[in-house]
Amino acid sequence: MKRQMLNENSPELQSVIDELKAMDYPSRVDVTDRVMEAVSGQPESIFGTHSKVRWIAAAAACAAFALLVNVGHLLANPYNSNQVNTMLSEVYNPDSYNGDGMIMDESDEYFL
Amino acid sequence: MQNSDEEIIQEVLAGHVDRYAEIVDRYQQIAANLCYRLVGDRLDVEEVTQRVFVELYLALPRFRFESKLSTYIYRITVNTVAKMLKHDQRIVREDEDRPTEVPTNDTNPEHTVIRDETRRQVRRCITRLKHEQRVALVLYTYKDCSYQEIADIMKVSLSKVETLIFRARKNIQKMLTNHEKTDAE
Repeated sequence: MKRQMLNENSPELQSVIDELKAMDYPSRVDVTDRVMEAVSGQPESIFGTHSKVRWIAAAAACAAFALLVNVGHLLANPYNSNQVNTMLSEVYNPDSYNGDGMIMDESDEYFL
Repeated sequence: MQNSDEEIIQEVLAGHVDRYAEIVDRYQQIAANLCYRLVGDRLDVEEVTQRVFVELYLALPRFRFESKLSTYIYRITVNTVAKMLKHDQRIVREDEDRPTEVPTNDTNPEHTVIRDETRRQVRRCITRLKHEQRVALVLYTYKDCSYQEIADIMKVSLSKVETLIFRARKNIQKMLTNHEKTDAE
């Protein structure tokens, strides 16, 4: 419907569109010298040194962010859940404790 | 043989800034014409054109040749015009209806009067459209840009472009009808 209406131009509208199509800037522009003057003072700052500095700064910022995320993760989760479960089972479940690696010295006699 | 846009831009990026003049020479009239259709005499067209090419120079490192350079220049022109209309109101001229002297071979005074009147009417209609509608319609009539190109330039969806052009035409039609009524009264 919309496409159909787009193609239905009244003669007046068509003349406006034709006129618009033919409407060009009445004189030749020549801004080359002005543009070149404006840009020639700063080539290095755009494509050279400053560009490299920007890249290095961006990389450093990314690295710092990654480090922060890692530190935050470690602080929030010092051990993973498997490690914690193993530790708890060893402490609280006497059946799972077989005494391997236990070294007794004289002071341990009090507890026998 | 004439170098391609891409070759010249690669050289500019490699440090041969003077080659940029070729890009400016090649596209300045196109940018000026587009600007003129967008705003008529409301902005200094040469000033806008100069800004467009400085902006383009600054944007060259980001240009990936995924679209034509001309399309990229249209986009920068549209954005620059919008920015200048918004911020540089001081250079907006008030005499929008001022007829422009266009060189012509037609010496018939009657034809000249009719043509001037039509031109004035076109400009009046165009300047009264909402900015987005005006941009879409001008791009549509300029170099026969496709809807997809217009969508890329304006950074809007294809359906939005269709709607904008549809509304622009409808509004112009309405303005012309009202104009005729006013003339008849």
